[in-house]
Amino acid sequence: MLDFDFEYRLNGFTLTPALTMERGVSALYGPSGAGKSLTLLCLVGLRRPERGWIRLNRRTLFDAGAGIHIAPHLRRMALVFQEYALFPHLTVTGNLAYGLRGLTTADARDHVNAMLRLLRLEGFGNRYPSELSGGQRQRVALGRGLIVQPELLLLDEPFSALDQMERERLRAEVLDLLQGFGGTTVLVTHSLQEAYLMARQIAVIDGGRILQSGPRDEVLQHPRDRRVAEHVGASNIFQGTVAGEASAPPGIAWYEERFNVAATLPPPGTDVEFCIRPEHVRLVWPERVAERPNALRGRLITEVKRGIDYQLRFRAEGAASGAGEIEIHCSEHLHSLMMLQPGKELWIALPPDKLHVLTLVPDDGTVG
Amino acid sequence: MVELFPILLSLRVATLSTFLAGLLGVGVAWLLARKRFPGRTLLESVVVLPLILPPTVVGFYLLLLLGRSGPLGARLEAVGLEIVFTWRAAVIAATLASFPLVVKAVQAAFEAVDPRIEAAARTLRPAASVFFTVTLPLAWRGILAGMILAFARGMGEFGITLMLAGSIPGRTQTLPLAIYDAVQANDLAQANALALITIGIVTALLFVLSRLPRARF
Amino acid sequence: MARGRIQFFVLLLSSWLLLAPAEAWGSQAAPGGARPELIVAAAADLVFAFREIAPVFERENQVKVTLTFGSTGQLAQQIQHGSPADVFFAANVTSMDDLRAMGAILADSMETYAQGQIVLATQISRPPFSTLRDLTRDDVKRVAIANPAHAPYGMAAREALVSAGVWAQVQPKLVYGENIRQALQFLQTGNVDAAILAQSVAQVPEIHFTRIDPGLYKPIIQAAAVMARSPHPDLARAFIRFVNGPQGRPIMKRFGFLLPGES
Repeated sequence: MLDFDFEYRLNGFTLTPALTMERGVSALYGPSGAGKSLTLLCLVGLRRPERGWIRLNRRTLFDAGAGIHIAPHLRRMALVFQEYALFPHLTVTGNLAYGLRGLTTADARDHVNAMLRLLRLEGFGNRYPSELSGGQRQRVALGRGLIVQPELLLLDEPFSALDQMERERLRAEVLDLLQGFGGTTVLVTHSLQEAYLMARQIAVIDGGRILQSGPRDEVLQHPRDRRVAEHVGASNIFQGTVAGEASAPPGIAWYEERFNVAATLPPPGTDVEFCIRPEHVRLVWPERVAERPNALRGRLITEVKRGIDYQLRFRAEGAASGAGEIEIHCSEHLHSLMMLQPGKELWIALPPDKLHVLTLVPDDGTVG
Repeated sequence: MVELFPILLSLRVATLSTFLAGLLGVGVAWLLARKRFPGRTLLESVVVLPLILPPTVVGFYLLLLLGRSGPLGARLEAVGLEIVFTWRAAVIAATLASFPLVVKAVQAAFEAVDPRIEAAARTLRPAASVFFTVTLPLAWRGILAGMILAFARGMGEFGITLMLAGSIPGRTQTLPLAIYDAVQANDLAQANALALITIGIVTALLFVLSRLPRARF
Repeated sequence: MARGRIQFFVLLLSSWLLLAPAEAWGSQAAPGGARPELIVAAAADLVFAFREIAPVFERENQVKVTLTFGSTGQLAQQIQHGSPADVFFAANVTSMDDLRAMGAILADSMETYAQGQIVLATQISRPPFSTLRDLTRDDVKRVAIANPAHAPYGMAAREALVSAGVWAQVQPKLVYGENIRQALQFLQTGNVDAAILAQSVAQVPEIHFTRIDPGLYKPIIQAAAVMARSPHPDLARAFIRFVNGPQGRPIMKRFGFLLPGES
């Protein structure tokens, strides 16, 4: 288990991550410049935070107050970058064996061979990185980290240099390899999809701070505030007021509509922000409108064909048309079935259990 | 008959000075390439000084420092170590002249090493080991280039050497000084021969080095 | 890959070590206790004379004489800063006096050994000049003298030009050689049209010369002395005596020097 809380300043940028990560794979997800890689460098010990602490499995690696700062090679961590971080002047064996210390040559050779088998790279021991494919190199980079049996494995956007096919294949392989790894893994990525695919826990980082951290579904479906919602793809964010009637089910007033919401709401009269993910917005056949709660009528404004699905933009009619466009993801099949096209009149429904209330964020950006 | 002494002396002065400039230069280059610290710009300026100052100026101040009555020179003489007007002065002159060339070349080489490679290595081995097993091997072409420059510069060092070591035949008269002396004595045949030998040595060195195995990366 | 590099460096290092006669690495002491070595710092005007005198001294005394030439001023500077010269033959007396005041010489060894003369020289391809006034001619574009700042013969040259009343006209044409040897070289190679040289260096086939009226400049009295730091003071004294003695004098005379006691 890894937990840390520290502050590191660099050229006017302040990094203050605080997090606890259990065993298994966790993702540190955020846009470029959020401070992800910098966090990794601090965890590994290549940068020294101004204050705070870092603990791995109850072992203090860094503590500003106590003056503790353990050297990187003694932290029992391994850092895996993209494939370029292989040592180009050493063979695959040389790379794998680099971190092995205190072993006899025979033992080291055994470890390397075992790892080569695990990586399915037997016979490649004497090749140089320049002779390997991107995927093979990535495996070696991972193997180089795993072979020293670290307690923490840090992957810094390891797949970004690979093409789509290789990336998917490698992700599956890496997950496979990590099955046997009993430690904590932190995956740094700017791809939400990758974070979701590979990790059980997602921590959203932006502007040097952790905005939210938790099980992946929790973070995706229940973002804590607007910023997180935007980061995790819950892009339809609305503002409304809690409607008050003791007898009626909980609801939010939005323009002239009243949405039923399957969640605990703040007291009536409170202004709230709430959101719904594009894939949860339902397209409704006109004759079935009465069956669907939270139905809205409007028009399809634009559509973008994304190969496997459509990204639609919908504007409600009436007063709510001032609310901007609602993003909807719709399968190809449904799209052709409903004969959708820009300008077409359309009914949508927002399922009550998919509407998620966000914490109202004060303007200075701090989380309430 | 070509005099052998200046050739041998210059070869040895250049070899020693390349070695010394290399040792010092690699250290300073690494500092400049990887570390941020106050006074960094000052260090960079000091390193370049021997390159831009006229050699006679450098030689003059070295003479004041290391001469018999100089602060350093007097002390060294007291323990029996003579610097000025000996071969050691020639080595110092050549080392100083080559030093900026080494630093510039090696610094560029270190900066070209991907810091992420070093970062990955640092999690596996102590910093010193990483320097020798990863950084140096990856930078060795630049280091070699710097050493070649240093050697050529050491072979050709004139102004500082003349001030600090003098041009004593059979003692401190290096190849360039011998050429100059031959010209002064109007012995153009000797001057020509020595000049051609200098060109030959440096060319041979470049040739040998171009035959070394190419890097894979 | 690393092996190839290591091999290269080993080769380099061992070839360096193999080329090692002790001479260059030795200190002041003679290598292996062979012949003692006398380092003679001599003004540039002595270059030809001493190249004849030194071998005779070497043979007779079983020593090695290393000659190093330069302008008097430069040599004096080097001595001040620790030059290993055992004995110094200046082209004047003032430098020696300065050194004596500093305690750099053995005062009792100081003696005059020659008086130099300056001559007006041109290449043999043109007719010789008869007076300094000839230097004002239009076809004389460049004239070489030794640097009057630190070379006694340069100072004498300037004195003579001033006394002859042609300094203002000739000065723009002057090219300074570091010492008299370099001034000679300028003329030998035809890079200047004329030169004022020491007579002792002017007796080379490529040039001919006319003596300059001694009344135009102060006599160039030349002094020698043994250096205080010399490890071979007796040998050094012997060399001075040799130059000033029955074997050295005829050679000096042949090169145009006036000798102490004669005039």
